[in-house]
Amino acid sequence: MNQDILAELCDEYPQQLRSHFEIQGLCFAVAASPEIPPPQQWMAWALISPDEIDQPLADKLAEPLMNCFKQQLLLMRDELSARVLPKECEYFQGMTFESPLSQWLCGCLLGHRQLEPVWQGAWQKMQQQTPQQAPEAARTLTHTLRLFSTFANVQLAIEQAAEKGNPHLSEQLADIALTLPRALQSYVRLSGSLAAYLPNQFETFTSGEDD
Amino acid sequence: MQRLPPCWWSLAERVAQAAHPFVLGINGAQGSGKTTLATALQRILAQEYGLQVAVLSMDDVYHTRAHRRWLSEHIHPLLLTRGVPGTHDVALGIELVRRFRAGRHLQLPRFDKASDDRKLESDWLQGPADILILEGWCLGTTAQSEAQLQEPVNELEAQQDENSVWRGYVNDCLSGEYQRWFSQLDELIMLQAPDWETVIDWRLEQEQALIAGSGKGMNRAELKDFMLHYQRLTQYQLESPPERVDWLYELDKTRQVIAVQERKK
Repeated sequence: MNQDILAELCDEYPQQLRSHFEIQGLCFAVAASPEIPPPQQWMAWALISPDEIDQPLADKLAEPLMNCFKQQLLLMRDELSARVLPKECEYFQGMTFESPLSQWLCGCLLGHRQLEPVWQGAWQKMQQQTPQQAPEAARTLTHTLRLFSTFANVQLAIEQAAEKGNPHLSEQLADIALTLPRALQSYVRLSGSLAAYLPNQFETFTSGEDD
Repeated sequence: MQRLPPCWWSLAERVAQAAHPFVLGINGAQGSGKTTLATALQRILAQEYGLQVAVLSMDDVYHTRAHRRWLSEHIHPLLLTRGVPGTHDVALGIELVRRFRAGRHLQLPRFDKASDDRKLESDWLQGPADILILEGWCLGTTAQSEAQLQEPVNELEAQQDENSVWRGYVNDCLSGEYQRWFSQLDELIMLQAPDWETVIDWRLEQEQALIAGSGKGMNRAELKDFMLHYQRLTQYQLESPPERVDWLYELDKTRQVIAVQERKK
């Protein structure tokens, strides 16, 4: 029901809101971040132009957005991260940019770009504390993001692959798409590993002394 | 273009004068002339009014054959046959309308009936477009009641859908995401065929043209069997046109408009 409300808002405000699948992908990236930013920060990313939003829309949007985010968290907590992709998000030959899978991954990459400093900060801490694990973490993340980018814009990926000497990518995509659920799991797992290197706010918190 | 009936010129004028972006829906049974009308409107609106018009058919967003195979294996074998609600990629359809309204470029998918699958190449449309014409045989239709679903309407339903699983699924899909898609229409017109038999004749004409062009197609007997998939919803719409139809164009057997009715809401 809550997803329906968000979907209807996206239909109603096409010039202000990103697509429903894009927002779901965005919420996934936020929920999967090593450190989750406050809602007032990430909620603005669901808007095409955050400065132009009117208050009535902002009021209508907050709850369904939060519910979408919670839904993603729930899937991750239940270790269902391979199933975070909505059923509509499937690859097919000739897929265009408007397709649900592309939209969802665009949202995910948008979220990741916004949260890149968090990922980098966590990775640097990993490098300081357990440097032997950092290269593998970097490789996993690079591979995962490259996979997401491929299906976020298939036509561009095919063109770029051809330029790099692989004219057969389009024939390989159906098989590569089968690895997406596993890649999403790796992404969530990697985030969990990196989060362990970030200072835990409750452990570092010291109660203020009386002045 | 000169031979176009006056009622279509009035329609073009009405659409041209409406606030843009504007989504015009054309509902009509198979072979009723939806595509011909959409193409003619596109040309008039471009040439006479300087408007950029995108045309999308519900057929263009059929699920791929692979997806329909999955549906046929997991829900009901009849879902392998394209056409009924449940066999369209509604999410893609909704997103195309949304992006059109936002003034963005569109990659319009196209369906290849000969191969029964989505074409690999889509049509690129440089946004913003002014008008989107969306056409489909069940566009704007609402779901039937449980009571209406009970009785099979033909031998296909009686023999291959004894437990109403197929028609129940089609109906559920129609009552869900399809309504979200249809709610995006600014105006819906309906080309109303005289009766079901005429629809089969019209569809046969199309098939004969397809055979003449590509050498592939169905004969009358095969086509009649094929059309059984659409009989329920086609007849339902002919008997009670969808509530949200704004203008009803009644056709005779030669597809001439014999009456035009504006339906007040």
